[in-house]
Amino acid sequence: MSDSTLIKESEMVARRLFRLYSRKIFLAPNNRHFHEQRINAALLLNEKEPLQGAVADFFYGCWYDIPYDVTNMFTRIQGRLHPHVEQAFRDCIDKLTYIQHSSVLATRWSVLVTPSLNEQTQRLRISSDDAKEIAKDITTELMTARDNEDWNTVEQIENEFFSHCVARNDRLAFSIVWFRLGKSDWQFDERWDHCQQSLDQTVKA
Amino acid sequence: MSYLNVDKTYFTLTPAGIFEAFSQNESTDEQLSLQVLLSHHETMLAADWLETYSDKWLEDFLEQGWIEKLSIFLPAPNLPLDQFLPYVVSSLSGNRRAVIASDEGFCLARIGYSQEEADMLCVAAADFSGFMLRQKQRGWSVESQAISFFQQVDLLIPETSFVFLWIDGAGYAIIIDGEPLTNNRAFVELVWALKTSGLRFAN
Repeated sequence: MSDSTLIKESEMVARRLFRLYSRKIFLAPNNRHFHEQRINAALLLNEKEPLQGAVADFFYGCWYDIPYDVTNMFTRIQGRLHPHVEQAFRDCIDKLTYIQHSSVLATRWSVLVTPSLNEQTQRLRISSDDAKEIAKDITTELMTARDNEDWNTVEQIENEFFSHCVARNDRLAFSIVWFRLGKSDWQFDERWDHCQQSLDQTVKA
Repeated sequence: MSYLNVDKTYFTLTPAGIFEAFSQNESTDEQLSLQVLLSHHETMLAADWLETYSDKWLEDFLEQGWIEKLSIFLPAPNLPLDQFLPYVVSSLSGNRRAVIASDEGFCLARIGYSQEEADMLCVAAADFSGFMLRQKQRGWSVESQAISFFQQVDLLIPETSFVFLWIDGAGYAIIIDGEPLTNNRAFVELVWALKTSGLRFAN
């Protein structure tokens, strides 16, 4: 069995465990053991979003434990979340704030709390995990099409990508793809500028 | 709700609120009052909603987690549907593959699936939607809003899920590949776009 097959299999096992404990937590929101098992499963995944969603559920479901008894758990997840997210959780531990049912710390993987729309800057329609995955796929597809001198496909993939970026406000994927292609002398035409301008306008709005 | 500053607070639906509000082809008064929140091109001011509906309902909806109170105003998505739906619906799927179907079996948007696969799933969705309506007419009160199909015996992660929604008298199905991730801001924005767009497509 190849390394990549093994990695894929262990990822599937982690995803199933994560979902199993998501269900248990939905039925028993205050069961700390279930939360810890779910966080352990999330730590086996590469993405940040499942872990963030699981920790947000834990802080909501076991709120009474949070200021007193989470140091060990929090040490294990350190460096695995975005720094501002980690700081927001730390603020909960320090009793500066607490997680409500609608929370900007919740993600689509949460089952007790729900992602909030109450923050303009958070109103991205895409997660950073997805953005990175999409950027990786698009870069590979574009480079392959260019190597094959298949210019129609290049244009088609580029147009699809611009539509994606504008519809989902995906500035992250746009920047990653721009940066990676730029390193290999990509010919950026005016469509790239238009897309960037559309994304800039969204920021200003 | 004496503690609520009704002139500075806006309401929107949560993903769970979307499920509640748009789940039935014949909505109750409560469900219609929730739908109103996504009927405008911007988030609704609490004071405006409370002019028509009661404090008691609001308390109940907040307790159920169907409404979120916002301190900021948000505009509805304003892109043509074909430039918006495919990319937004993809985040509802763990595999980023999803389709939006009309209840007549037409494909309105797809991402990750080929046109052929999407068309096949849309026809299946129309069949399921019709099946559920027929069962309801026969007296089986189908309250469920989604159907999932599994390959493994533990019924843990679905292969394909069909989520049914009724928006302004028209039926829609969202077809999701792999793990469904509907507890999602994109789910709210997607329904908001469908409700306010007047079904405006660029092409």
